[in-house]
Amino acid sequence: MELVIKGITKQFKNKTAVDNVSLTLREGVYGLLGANGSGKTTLMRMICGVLKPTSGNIKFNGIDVSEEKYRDLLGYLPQDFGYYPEFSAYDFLLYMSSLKGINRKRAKDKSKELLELVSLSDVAEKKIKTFSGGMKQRLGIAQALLNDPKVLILDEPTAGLDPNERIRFRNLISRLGRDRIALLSTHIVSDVEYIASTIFLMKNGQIIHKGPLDEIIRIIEGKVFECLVDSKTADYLMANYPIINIREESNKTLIRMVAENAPCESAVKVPATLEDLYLYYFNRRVTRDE
Amino acid sequence: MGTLLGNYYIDGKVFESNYEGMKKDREYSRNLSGREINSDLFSETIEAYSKIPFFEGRYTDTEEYQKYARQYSEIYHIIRRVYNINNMREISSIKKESLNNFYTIRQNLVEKAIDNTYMTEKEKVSSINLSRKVNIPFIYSYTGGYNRFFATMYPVAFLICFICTICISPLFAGEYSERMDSLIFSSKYGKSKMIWAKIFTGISFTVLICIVFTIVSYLTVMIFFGWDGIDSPIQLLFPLSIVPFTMGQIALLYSILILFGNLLSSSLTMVLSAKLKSPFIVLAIMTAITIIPGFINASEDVLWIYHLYNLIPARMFNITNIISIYSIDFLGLTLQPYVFIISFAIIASITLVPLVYRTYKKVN
Repeated sequence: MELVIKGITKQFKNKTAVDNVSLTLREGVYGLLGANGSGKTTLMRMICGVLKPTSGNIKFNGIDVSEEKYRDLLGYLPQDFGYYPEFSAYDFLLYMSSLKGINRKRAKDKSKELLELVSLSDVAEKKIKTFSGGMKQRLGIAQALLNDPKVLILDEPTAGLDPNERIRFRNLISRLGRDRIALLSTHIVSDVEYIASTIFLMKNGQIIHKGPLDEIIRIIEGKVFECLVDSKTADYLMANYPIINIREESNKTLIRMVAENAPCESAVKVPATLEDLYLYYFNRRVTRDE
Repeated sequence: MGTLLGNYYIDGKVFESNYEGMKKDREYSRNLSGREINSDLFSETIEAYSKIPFFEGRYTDTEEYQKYARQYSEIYHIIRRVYNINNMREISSIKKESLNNFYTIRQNLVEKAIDNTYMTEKEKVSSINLSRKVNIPFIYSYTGGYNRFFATMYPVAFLICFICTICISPLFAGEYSERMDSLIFSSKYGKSKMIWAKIFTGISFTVLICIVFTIVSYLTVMIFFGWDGIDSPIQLLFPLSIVPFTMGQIALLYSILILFGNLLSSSLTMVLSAKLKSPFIVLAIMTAITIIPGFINASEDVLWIYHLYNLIPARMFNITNIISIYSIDFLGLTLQPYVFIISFAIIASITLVPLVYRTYKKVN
């Protein structure tokens, strides 16, 4: 099982949303991390065959993503998930089942099973317009799994879910990732930190880092420091170093930052996390007033 | 049915309800049914109308009209058109010899009208030949039901058009406004069977609405006004028409014309819906295409523009496309306008359907 993304570029009028991305994905869970506007959604839409690349190609086991055979193996949860307000959850899954070519008997069984899985059985007959954001998101996850996909593309799948639901979802994806390709894009680092075997960092349309967690963390390992400093030193550090986090404590400021060497006397080296890496790449410089 | 509501007033007092008036006129007409339209019937009509005294107001308010002339009002209508009577008083001046030559005078009038058009010689010959196929003498029959049906179907056609436009506009464009497009295009059948299913829905919905509205209109009108006249010549309502068809045949042709006009309109709507991402813009454009032609008339001085203009769906709904005196020479074939229009609607609709498919599939 292999999803090969080769030299994919998407050019819009005055912007290159995805810039010559090449990846090979096999069974497992992949995390795609990036800030807003980094090209994640555009890349995912091209992987799903919804958007045509300007150049390059994407193939799954030799099947081009534009072919119907590929879409038969695909499950997709878009970032901006739409629905028909007057449909009930159950009817919506039945409709999506017919679009996915699932016969009626199997569609009924699968819909009930998935509604149970995402804890929507109690509201199966209720109209989607009455659902909360989290319930709609769970319904979206359910429809992505209808056809037992070999390729599962989830764009911001945990948006709107509370912490309990996010943990449940993480565990579900982790189980599903055993015998399929699951690609998640998210801002929430913890969504992928524990379950993704490979993480891609995307910035300005390009994949700037990729690899298992411990490998990509090495970029900033030994370079993350925490210092408890006075106000004047804090201002100096904020002006001169990439700051990951600021916390005001009694009459001092605890600053977590990235630096080649200890930035001040009281600086303590701390283990790097994926969030440190994410904020290092995607956070703009913060000031004390923020 | 609106014409049956309300009353007819004489001198500020209710003379009769419109419904009673219709029944009375129907009774009068039925009394004349089966009679040949000839000089004898004309003479009776003229004699009855001659009894109406000079009157400053509406002559129809006079007792003499109600008692003697009203029963011949349909025949008077035919006399007016053929003998070019503008004023009721002129009817007495028509000579007996002229009444005897009614069909010759009528045919001459038709051929003169054809000759006065901007048609080519070939087209004129075709129209004249067609006019000579009209069966004479005409046998009079009450045709109130068909008269009302033809009048009713024009606004009904527009109503069908609007209903179809409103319902079909979101067929494709609605997937964008509902933000379902990503899910649909990433599903197995989202770029194939689903599109055909939508096209089928659009077409079948249009056909169903047309059939239902046509049948309901026909039945409603016939139940209230009467079923008479199915085999009567169309010339009883349109004396100078050149087509040799009966009321029933015209009713069928008119229904078919409206059906294909609406199918073309729906096909256009589907193309716009597939191309544009907003159902409201589609609705606005189709409303403009449907309404604006109603306010603009194309001149018959430049016939090719006139005929082209009548290919706009909303213009197709006019019954004159069936009963007009025109013939159209197109690629060596001489066609009647309704044949030309229906053929165009079929070909255009068939052409637009694959365009809907390709447009929607390519839009991303």
